Amino acid sequence: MLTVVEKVISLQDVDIFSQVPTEQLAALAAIAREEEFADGEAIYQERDPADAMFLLVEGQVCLLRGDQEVQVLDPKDTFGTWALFVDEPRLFTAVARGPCRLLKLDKEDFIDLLADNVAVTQGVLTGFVNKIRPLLELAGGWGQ
Amino acid sequence: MNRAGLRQSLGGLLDVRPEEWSRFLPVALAYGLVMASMYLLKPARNALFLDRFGVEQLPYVLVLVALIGGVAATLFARFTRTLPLDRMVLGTFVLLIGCLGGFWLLLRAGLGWSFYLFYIWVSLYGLMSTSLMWLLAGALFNAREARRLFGLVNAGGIAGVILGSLFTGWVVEGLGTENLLLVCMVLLGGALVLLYWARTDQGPASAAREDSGGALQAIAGSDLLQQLAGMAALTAVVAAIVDVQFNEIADRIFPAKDAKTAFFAQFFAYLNIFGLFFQLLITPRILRVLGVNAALLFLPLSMAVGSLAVLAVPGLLAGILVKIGDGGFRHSIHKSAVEILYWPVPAQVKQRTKVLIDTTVDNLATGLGALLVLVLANALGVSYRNLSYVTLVLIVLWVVVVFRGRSAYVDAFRQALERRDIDAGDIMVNINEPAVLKSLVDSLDSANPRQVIYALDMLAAVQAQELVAPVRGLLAHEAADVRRRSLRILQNQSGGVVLQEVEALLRDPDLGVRLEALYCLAVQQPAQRRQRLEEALQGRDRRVRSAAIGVIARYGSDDERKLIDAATMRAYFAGQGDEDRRERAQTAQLLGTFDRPGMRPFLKELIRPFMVDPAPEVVQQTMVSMGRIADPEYLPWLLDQMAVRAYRQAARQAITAYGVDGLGFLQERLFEDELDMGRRVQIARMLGQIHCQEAVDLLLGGLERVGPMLQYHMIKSLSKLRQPAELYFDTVRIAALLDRALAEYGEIVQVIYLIEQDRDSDSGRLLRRALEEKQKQNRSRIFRLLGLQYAQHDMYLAYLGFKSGEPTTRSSALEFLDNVLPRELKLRLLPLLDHASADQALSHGREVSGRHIADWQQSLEYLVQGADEWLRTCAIYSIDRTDGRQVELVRSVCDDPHPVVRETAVAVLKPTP
Repeated sequence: MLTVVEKVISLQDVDIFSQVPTEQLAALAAIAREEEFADGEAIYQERDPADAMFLLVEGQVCLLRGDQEVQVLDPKDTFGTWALFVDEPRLFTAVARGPCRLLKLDKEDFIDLLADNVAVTQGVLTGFVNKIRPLLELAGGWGQ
Repeated sequence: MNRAGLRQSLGGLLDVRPEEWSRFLPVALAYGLVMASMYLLKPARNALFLDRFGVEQLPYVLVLVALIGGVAATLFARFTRTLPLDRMVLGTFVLLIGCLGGFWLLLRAGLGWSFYLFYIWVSLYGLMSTSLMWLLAGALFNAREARRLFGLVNAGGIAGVILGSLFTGWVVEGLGTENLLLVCMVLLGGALVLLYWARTDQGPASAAREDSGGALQAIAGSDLLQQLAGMAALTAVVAAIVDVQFNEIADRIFPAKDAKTAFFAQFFAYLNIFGLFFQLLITPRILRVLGVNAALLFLPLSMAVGSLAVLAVPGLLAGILVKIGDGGFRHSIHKSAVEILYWPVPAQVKQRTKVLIDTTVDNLATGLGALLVLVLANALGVSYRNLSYVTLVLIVLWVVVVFRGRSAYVDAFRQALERRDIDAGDIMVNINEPAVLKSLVDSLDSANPRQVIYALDMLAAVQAQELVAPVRGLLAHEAADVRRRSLRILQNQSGGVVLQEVEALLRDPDLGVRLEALYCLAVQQPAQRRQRLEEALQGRDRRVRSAAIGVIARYGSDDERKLIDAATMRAYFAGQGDEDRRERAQTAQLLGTFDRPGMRPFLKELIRPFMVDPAPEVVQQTMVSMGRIADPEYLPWLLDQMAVRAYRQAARQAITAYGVDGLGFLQERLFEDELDMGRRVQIARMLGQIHCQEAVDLLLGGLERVGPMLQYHMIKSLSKLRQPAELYFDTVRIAALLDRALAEYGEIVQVIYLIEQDRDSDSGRLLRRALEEKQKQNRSRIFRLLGLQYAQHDMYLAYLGFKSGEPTTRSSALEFLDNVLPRELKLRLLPLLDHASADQALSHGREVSGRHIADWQQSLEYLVQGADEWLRTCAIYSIDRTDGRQVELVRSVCDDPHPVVRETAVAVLKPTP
C-alpha cells in the first residue's frame, strides 16, 4: 500500500497537478485509491462513462481503439484525465499489460475537493493556463 | 454639561464618534488656523505689492508665480514622498513660521525685491500648508471616517477663512499691514501645537507618481478631457486678467496701504461667506433643476457681466462685480459642475489627468493671462479698463467650449454606460441631469439584459415622467430581474402607470415579480392598499397569496403585519406539497420573512419539512430563510450540510447571514481540534465574510491558538475584513504576529540553505518543493499582516510586484517597502526578501529568527519537531535511513497525533525488504 507521501510524489509529476502545492496534493492523495489489475484485465472499455482518471504506478497499460493498439503506458503516465472535466464517454479501452498497480482518482471526489479546497482549484487552473499559454503564444493570441 | 456629555451631543450633531474627537478636533482647528492665516496674508500681500509697485508690475509677479509655482508644486510633491509625514508636516510649519519672521524684518526694512519674494512666497505658502494639512488628515483618518469628517474639517477651514478675513479688516488699520505677519506666526504656532498633538506614526505619504507623458496622451485621446483642459485654461487666463483689473481698481480707490489691506480682507470675507452659502444652498438646486451645462455657464457669464460693468461704470462696484464671479463661483458651482464632467472618465485616467489639468494647465494659463496683460497694457498701452474687451472675447470662446464639453460629456457618458464604469451610488445625486437621464433611458433598449439591469439600477430612485413609457415596455422582458426592477421604478412614478399591465404580473412565474407588482399596485392606489392586500391574502390563487405575504413581510406596516397570523400561514402552507418544486422553493424563500415575536415556534414547525425536501433548490431556499431568521438552533445542521456539494454554497451563505449571532458557534467549532481541517478552514473563510468588529477580534485573538495552515486562512480572512477600512485591528497584536512570521521565515531560510538531500531523489525533491511552498505561503502571510498594519492596497501591490519574477518590478516593490515601512521593521524584512548569497541568507535568517540552525541535523530536528504537519511529514520521509541519529529522531514521532505524519514515520522505520 502506498503511503500518502508516496502518492504525493507520484501526483506531483502529473501535468495538471504540477502547480498544486504539495501540501494540497496530500488532500488529493487522500482521495486517490490504489487499485491492482491482472494481466489482460480491462480497466475500462471504449464508450464506458468516464468517471475517473488513472495514474500508473507499476506495470504497463495498453490503450486500444477497437482492436487497434494506440499507446503503451509506463509508470508515472496518466490516462483518462479528461474524464475529470468532461462527460464524454471513453475514447479508448485500457487494458493491463502484465500485473499493474494504479492510482484512481474518482471524478465525483475530485470535484468535491475542488469545491472545498481553493488552493487545489487554483493550482489545477494554473496548470491548465501554463499548458494553454504556449499554444496561444504560438497563435499570437496571448494577452489579448 | 460635562465635557464627555458635550462631546457626545456635538458628536451626535456632527457625526463625530467618541474615539475620533482626539484626531478630528486638532485637525479641524489647525486647518481653521492655517486658512485664517492665509486670509491674513493674501490681503497683506496684495496691498503691500500694489502699494510699493502699483498695478503695472502685477502681471510680472503673476508670471513669476505661475512659473515658480509649477516647479515648486512638482518639487514639493516629490519631497513629500521622501520624508515621514510627521516630520514633514511639523518641519514645514516650523520653516513657514521662520519665513514669516524673516519677511516681517525684510518688509519693514523696505527692500524692494522682498515684496516680489513675499508675493510669490504667499502663493507657495497656500499650496504647501493646505496640501500638507490634507496629507496629514488622509493619514489620520481611514476612508470611512474621511467620508464623514472631511466635510467638517473643510467647514473649519471655511470658518477660518471668514474669521481671518474679517479680523484683518477690523484690525489692520490699528495694527499695520506688516504686523499681520506676527499674528500669522501666532496662528501657525497654534496650528503646529495642534498638529503635534494629532501626529501620526505613518511613513512618507505614498502619493501616486504622476506620469505627465501618459496624462497628456490620455487628454489627447479624449474629446471630453480636451474640453475640460480647454475650459480650465480659459478660466485661468480670464481670471488672471480680471485679477489685475480688480487690483487696479482697488489700488486706485484705496491709496493708503492699510486701507487697501482692510478692503481686500473684508472683500474676501464677504466673498467667502457668499461662496459658502451659494455652494450649500444654491449649487445643488441649480445642478438638479438646470443641469450641469447651466451650472458651467455661471462663471463665464458672471465674469462677462463684471467685464461689461468695468467698461460701463468704472469704479469700485465694477471692481467688485468683476471679481465676484471668480471669487464666488469658481470654487463653488463651477468646481462642482466640472467634477460632474469627470464622471464618465475611467477612474485610472481621471487620476492621471486631473492633477495635470488642475495644477500644470491652471498654472501655465495663469502665466499666459499675466503675459497677455503685460503685452497689451504695458507694451501696447491698452488701458486696464479696455482689457475687458479681451476677456469678453475669451469668454465667448469659453462658452463655446462649455457647449462642446457638454456634447463630449454625453458621448463619454454613453460609452461609460456601455462599459458599466459608473457606480450607481455615485450617480444618484445628479441623475436628473437631462443628458444623463437620456443616456440611461436609451440604455433600456439594449439587447444585453445586464446593461438594462445596470441602467434600471441607476434609475431606481428617479421620478420622471419620461421614464414611464420605456420602463412599461420592459414589463414583458424575458428576464425576471428586469421585470422586477422595472416594477420598482414604476412604484416611484406619480402618474402614467397602466395598472392593468401591472395587475397581469400578479400571475408571473417569478415570486419576486409578483411581489413587486402587488406592491406597485398598493403604492399607486394608496387608498385601496389595505383592502388590496387583504383580498390578495384571502384569494384562491396561491401565486397572489404568496405575493401578498411577501409584500407584507418586506414592505408592510406594523398594522399590516397583523394580517398574517399563524392561521393565515397554516392555511397558506397547507397545500404546499401539491405544488411543483419551483413553487415550493418560493414558499421556502418566504419563510425567512416571518420571524416575529410569538411566531418562532410555529415557524420552526413549518420549516421542518422543507429541510428534508427532495428538491435541492427547496432546501437551498430554506437555508436562505434560516440565515434571515438566524436561530442558533439551525447552525449545527447548516454546518453539516456543507459536506453536501449541492448545499455547500447555500449553507455557507446562510451561516454568514447570521452575522454576529453565529459567531459564538463558529468560534467553538473553529478551535475544535477534532473537527477536520477542511471544515475549520471553511469556518475561517466564512468569518472573513462577516463584516463586524467581533469577527476581527475573534480571528485576531485566535491566531496563536492554531497551526500554520489554519492561521494562514484566518489571516486571509482578516485581510478581507480590512476592506473597507472601518474596523479596528489591534496593531500591537499584529506587530507580534509579524515578528513571529518573520522569525519563521528566517528559520526556513536557514533550512533551505542547509539542505543536503539529493535534488534528484524523490524525497529530496519533495522536501525542497515543500520548503519553497512554505516560504511562499510565509511571504504571503507577512504581506497580508503588513496589509493589516499599513495601507493594504499598497502592500498588496508590493507583494504582487515582489512575486512577479520580473527583476525591475521586484526591485521597485522592495524600494517601495524601503520607503514606507518603519526603520526597525524594514531592517528585519528586506534582507530576508533580498539577499545576495547563501551566506547572507543564513546570516540574516539567524539574525531575524534569533535561532541558529547550524547544520542539516539541526534542520531536521527543527522540521520534525515543528508545528507544521506537512513539513514534518516531508522531513521524516527524507531522512537518511542509515544515519542512527536521524532514525532516532523519527522514532520519537512515531505516535504523532497527525495520521499522515504517523503513517510516514512508521513506513520509514519499517525495514526494507
